[in-house]
Amino acid sequence: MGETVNSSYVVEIEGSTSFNNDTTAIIADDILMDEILPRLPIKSLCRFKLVCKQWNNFITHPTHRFAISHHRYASKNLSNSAYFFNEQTERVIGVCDGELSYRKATNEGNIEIWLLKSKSGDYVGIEFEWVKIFNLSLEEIFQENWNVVSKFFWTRKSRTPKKAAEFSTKKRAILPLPCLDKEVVWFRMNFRLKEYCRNGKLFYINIRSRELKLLDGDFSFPQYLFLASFLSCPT
Amino acid sequence: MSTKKITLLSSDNELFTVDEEAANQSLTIKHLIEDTEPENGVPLPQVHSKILAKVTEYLIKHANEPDNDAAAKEELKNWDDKFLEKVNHETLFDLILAANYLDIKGLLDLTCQTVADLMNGMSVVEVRKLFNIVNDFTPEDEAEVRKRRKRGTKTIGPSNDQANQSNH
Repeated sequence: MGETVNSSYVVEIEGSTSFNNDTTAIIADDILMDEILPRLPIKSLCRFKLVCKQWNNFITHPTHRFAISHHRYASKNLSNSAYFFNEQTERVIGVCDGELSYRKATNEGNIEIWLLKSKSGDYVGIEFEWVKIFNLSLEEIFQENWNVVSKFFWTRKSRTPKKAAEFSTKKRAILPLPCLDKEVVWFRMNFRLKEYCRNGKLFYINIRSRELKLLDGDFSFPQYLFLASFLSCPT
Repeated sequence: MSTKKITLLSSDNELFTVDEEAANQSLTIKHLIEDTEPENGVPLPQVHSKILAKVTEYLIKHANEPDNDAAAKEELKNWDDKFLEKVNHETLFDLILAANYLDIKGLLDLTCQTVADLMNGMSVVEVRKLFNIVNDFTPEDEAEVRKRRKRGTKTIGPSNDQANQSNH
């Protein structure tokens, strides 16, 4: 019986709920959302968007709270995840689990950031402000960009952060993350190079003040660090 | 130091006796004892004896959590794995509800992680069944979500995701 349902493409047959008729316990939504779903890898979460509308909504628009607990579990299990937040709406505007699985566009359209990991282990931050101009899906844009990134940056692993940042000023849509020693993050803001040394911290971006802030002081974040920049600053 | 015994009373009036130290892992029980000082056992009307038996088993085992002893920690972890090994979904869910109600963080963590691990290997249909969820997507909605997901997952590298296996 199990073999017949191991694909998400199987259409549920009406009235096939006999499996669960004897289950008396119904897990309350808050336990599910707070305790169970955050423990799933992003890949699984993406898959389970298909479970029902409520799940789709919840997973597609993760809350601040969800993202924090998801990150906590994810770092415990040594898989990576990073989130970008919009402080005003308390919504996640971007997320990455270290091998690209998921993203969410910002409603405001001010900033679109992806943090991506290449197959060779490089990390790349991508801005998507111009996505709107083309009115394309982020996935499509990303695919285009990834090719550019891979062509260019995979050969430049040894670049110093400064040079990488200089480069990124010219090619504004793509930024490499100089993940040098797992302790240094270079962060560019308003086209001025700023250096941040942080280890084990999760950041988020305040859109209005354009500040990089620490989300919480206590996250273990050893696997990678991330870089982002703002694109729409007047020069 | 003498160990005080605490009696717990299940919804079907069965009595369970545990050391106070074990019982105190449940913040709900701890507060009930502090606030009401019950004489005839702590009444837990939301927990059936079948589940409370499992819960007390957990509480007793976890009463003295090892701090620095790696071997003891390992042993406890193995015990945890075994503890839920033969448990069916229904009991697992009941345990989650009990752990949540009794406010036993360790047990809630353990049971929820078990469900998450379980879900990880499941298809969407199986997950719906597990949680008794009715698929409320229209075929169009579902196709849309599927389409988005498919586009998103095909972008990098080889993936085992099901979306990648079908040709588009």
